Formats: sequence, C-alpha cells, structure tokens
Amino acid sequence: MRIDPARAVTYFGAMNELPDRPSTSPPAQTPSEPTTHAPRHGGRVLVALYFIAYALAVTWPGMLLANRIEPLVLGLPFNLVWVAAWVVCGALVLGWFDHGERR
Amino acid sequence: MERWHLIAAVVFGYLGLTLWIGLRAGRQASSSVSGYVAADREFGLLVMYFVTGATVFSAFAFLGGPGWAYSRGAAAYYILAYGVLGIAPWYWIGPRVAAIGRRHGYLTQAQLITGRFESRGLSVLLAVVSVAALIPYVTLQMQGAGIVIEAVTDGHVPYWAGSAIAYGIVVFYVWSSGVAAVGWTNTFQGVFMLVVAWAFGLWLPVHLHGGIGEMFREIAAQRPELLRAPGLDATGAPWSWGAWSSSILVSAIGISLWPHLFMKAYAARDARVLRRTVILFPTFQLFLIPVFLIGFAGVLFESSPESADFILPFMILEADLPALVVGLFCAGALSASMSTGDAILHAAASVTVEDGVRPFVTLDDAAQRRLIRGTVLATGVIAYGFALDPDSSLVVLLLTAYGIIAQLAPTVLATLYWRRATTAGVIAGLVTGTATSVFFLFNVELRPLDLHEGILGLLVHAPVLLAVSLLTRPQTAAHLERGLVGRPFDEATPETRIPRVHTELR
Repeated sequence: MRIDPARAVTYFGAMNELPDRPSTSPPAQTPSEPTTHAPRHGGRVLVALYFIAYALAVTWPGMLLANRIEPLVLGLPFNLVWVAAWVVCGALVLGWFDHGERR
Repeated sequence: MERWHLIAAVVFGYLGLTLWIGLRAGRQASSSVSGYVAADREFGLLVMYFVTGATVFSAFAFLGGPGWAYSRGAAAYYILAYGVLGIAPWYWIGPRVAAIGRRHGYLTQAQLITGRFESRGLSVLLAVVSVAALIPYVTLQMQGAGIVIEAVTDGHVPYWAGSAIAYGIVVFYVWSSGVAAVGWTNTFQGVFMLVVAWAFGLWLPVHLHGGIGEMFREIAAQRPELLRAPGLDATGAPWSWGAWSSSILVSAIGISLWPHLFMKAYAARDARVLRRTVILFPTFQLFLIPVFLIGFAGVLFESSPESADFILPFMILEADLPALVVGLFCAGALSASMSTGDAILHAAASVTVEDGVRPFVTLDDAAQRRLIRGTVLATGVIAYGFALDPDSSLVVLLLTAYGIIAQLAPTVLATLYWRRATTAGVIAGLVTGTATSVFFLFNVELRPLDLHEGILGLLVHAPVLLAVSLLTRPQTAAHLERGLVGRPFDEATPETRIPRVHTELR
C-alpha cells in the first residue's frame, strides 16, 4: 500500500514521515482494509486552524475583545455566549470534517 | 412522615435503581479480563457518549461549577472553554489507540506506551502516577456525595453514612460487573445529570429574578466584576489572564489523557463510535451553562452558605421545593459524583494490576480478574478513609494531579506519532516534566507569568524528550513495524468494523 507522504501530516504536524512499507501484519489478526478514499489533507489543516483560532479566541488575547456583558443573547452575557458559540462551532467543524471523510 | 424521610426515600430509590442497572450490566460482558476492563471492546455510541460525558463531569462540575460562578464569576467559564479543545485531538488519537489496542490486546494506557517503550520501570512509574492522580479525585467525589446527602436530609443522614452508602453501592457494582457496569450506570446517570442541571438551571433564575436576562442585568448593576472574564481568583482578587489561559490549556491537554477516560478507547466498538462521541461531546458539555446559572442565581441572595461549594444544595433547600424535587436534585448531584467515581475506581484497580503487578508476576486470566476485583474493593476503602479525614494535603494532591496528567501528553504523542522517540527519552522527559510540575506547585510565587505548573512542566518535558531521544539509539525498524506506532490507515477507514480479536495476553 503506497503511503502518500502528504497524508502523513498528522494533526500535530509531521515529526517524521512514515516511509513506504508493505503491510506486515498477520492476516489472521487484522482484516484486509477496504480502500476508501484518502483523507483530505486540506480538511485536516482547516480543522487544525480552527482549533488554533479557538484557543486564541477563548484565552488571551481573543477574550479581551469579547469581554463584554452586553448585548445579552438569550439572556446570557455576551462573553459567555462567545465561549459557547466557539464550542458549538467546534462540534460543527469536526462534524463537517467527519462527513467529508465518510463520502 | 417527616420531609426528610421522603427525600431520603427518593434518594435511596435512585441508588437502588443504579445498583440494579450496574449488576445487570455485567451479564452482557464475558467473564474474561478483557470483558471486565474493556467490555470485550463492544461499547456502542449511546454508552460511549454518556461514559465520556458523565465521567468527565463530576461532583466538581455540579458543586464546584456553581461554586465558582457564585464566588468567582466569569472565571467559571474556563470549564466550558477547555472541553471541546481538549477532546478534538481524540478524533484522531482515539481510533489509533483503539486499533493498536485491538492488535495487541491492550487494556490500559501504560500498555500502549510500554508496548513500544519496553521497560517495567516505566510501566510501574505510569501505574504509580495514574493511581496517585486518581485516588484524590475519587476521594473528592466521595466527599461530594456525602455532603449532598447530608444537606438534603437536614443532617439526618450524616456525611460519613451518605458517602459510605453511595460508594458502597458503587464498589459493589464495579466489583461485580467491571466496566460494563460503568458504561450502563453512566448512561442512566448521565441522563439524570443533564435533566436535573437543565431543569434547575433554567428554573432558579426565573424563580428568583424573573428571568435569566433580568438576573444578569441585576448582577451587572451590583457586582459587574463577576461577569467580566477572567473573573476572580480564590481570594476575591481579579484573576490573571496568564492563569486563566494556562488553566484552559492544561485542562484541555489533560482531559483525554486521564487514564480512566483514555482506556475507554479500548472499550469502543469501532472508530466510528469514537469519532461520533468526540463530535457529540459539546452537546453534553453545554449543560454547564445552566450549572453556571444556578451559581449566579445565588449571587444576590440575602444569605450565603458556609462554603462556595455548597451553593447548589443551599439554593435548592432555600427555594423550598417539594420533597420529591429535592430528592431528584440530590439524585442528580449523586449521578455526577458516582458516574466519575465508578470509572476511577475501575481504572485505578485495572491499572494497578495490569501495569503494576503483571510485568513482574505471571497470572492467568481468572487470577487477574480476581485481583482486579479485590483491588477495586481495596481502592474504595482507602479512598473512603481519606474522605473521612479532611486533610488539606488531599486538595494539594489533586491540584498536583492535573499538572502530572498533562505530562502524559508528550509521552502518548511520542508513542503514536514519533518514530525517533526512544525509551530513555520518554522516561527522562516524563521524570523531569513531573518534577518541574511538582516544584512549581509548591513554589507558586516563582511561576513566570502566573502560568499553571503543568504548562511549565511541559516546557521542560518536551525538549528533554526530544534531546534524549535524539542522543540515544533509535528503535529498530522491525520493532516499530510490529504495528506499535500505528499507520495512517488506522485513521482513514472509520467504516471498518474491526472484528473481535482473540486477545492474547502478554
């Protein structure tokens, strides 16, 4: 199975490229993997970028910008809704990525 | 019949139901160690969702969360902020851990690490670190249970009895049914927690202030410092951005590494289930919002409880609700505590035997299972002993735990993703990172930028791991090829239902 080096870029950045090796696992123990399409390289980067943005948005300095009480959204202070919105979008981003993987 | 009799009856009814579910759950799993520790790798999405959510959110969320909102204001928002940030990497790491675990029959976190970095010393070190972090955690859950039961029965069921009854039941069903009991009781308890939190969280502000927005406007008028991030620290002074940010980061890094959560990767049926659990996790996490509302509802209350952590039972009792409702609230709080406590007791016992004993002593499957069960009982008794003895050093131990658990991050990442890592590098990094974390825990004033000691530990751990690994002999290609590092396909084929592998015990 040829491993495309681009696919080896992991969520945390490539510490090492996984080399091209034939599968050596004993057939009795693992099933033969049906080949689905390769994970989208671009998708992973977008997810990573989103969560970097998330980290900056809910810690310093992002939180400085959103640190308001008004306007109240659904009765809740704006800075609380800010955090909650990033949380919900995080789920949506992962869900979008997952949906792309499954097709 | 006095009011507290009714309340106690509801609480005991809830406990009895939980026990019944826990005992019944054991019939599904096999009688092997794999069945006891990983439910034969058969957990579906419903159970995984609640195991993850209910285990993560403990008595801290139910009592400490409102307590933080009440006394520290917006500082409590950090609890909401770190969850999805921390669980997102699990989308990739979880399935990889599960695939490698299936291939080699792993049941614990340390087995994954020492499968690649073969060292019995490392195995014991990981076991000791895990158990040292888990015991104070479960002790605090026991305390939370005792406190809540005593509060809602007006002291008629004293702290020591409430704690003993609730956790006697936990020990019983964990002893009997292992992780299957954890899974199914967590599902029941998770639903309970969510319903109670949302119901009270939405009702209390309306009851006391006429509405959620109205409540916040009043707080903004009288105590605006509570609503601006990062809120206040424990002494009431403004909390620093450095502490807020690093608390979020350390908690995010550590959340998926807690041994009792990490090993649930082995219990999931397939990668699909793990991924969906990650994606759905925020839906569970949003219950923190009503939890915060309960705390905020108490801010402008005339009287106050002895300690901020008691604000939730205090508000419930002050609101003068029907006994049935108070009983259900108590059940909700117990759910939060027990759903974390059972996973921890189970994990602590499994880790002690699998990682602390098995590397040195040959045991057959039945003997292992008996030993794990016995350790569940012993761990419960030891933790309960600590719960009875209010010792400030215990809280210190738990604070240390967070910083130490975060040290597992470079270790796990190196195991899964860095082929050049070596055993010496991993051990050196772990030891220096942990030592640094402990040092800054006891020398708070020396922390640069008021950063959490776990972050400071990581800043030492990572370079040491890198440097020592590069300076020592690399692992052989054959060793790595045995599937220890994991391959990209582990992440690329979520649809493959991996059939049950005959688990050869090493």
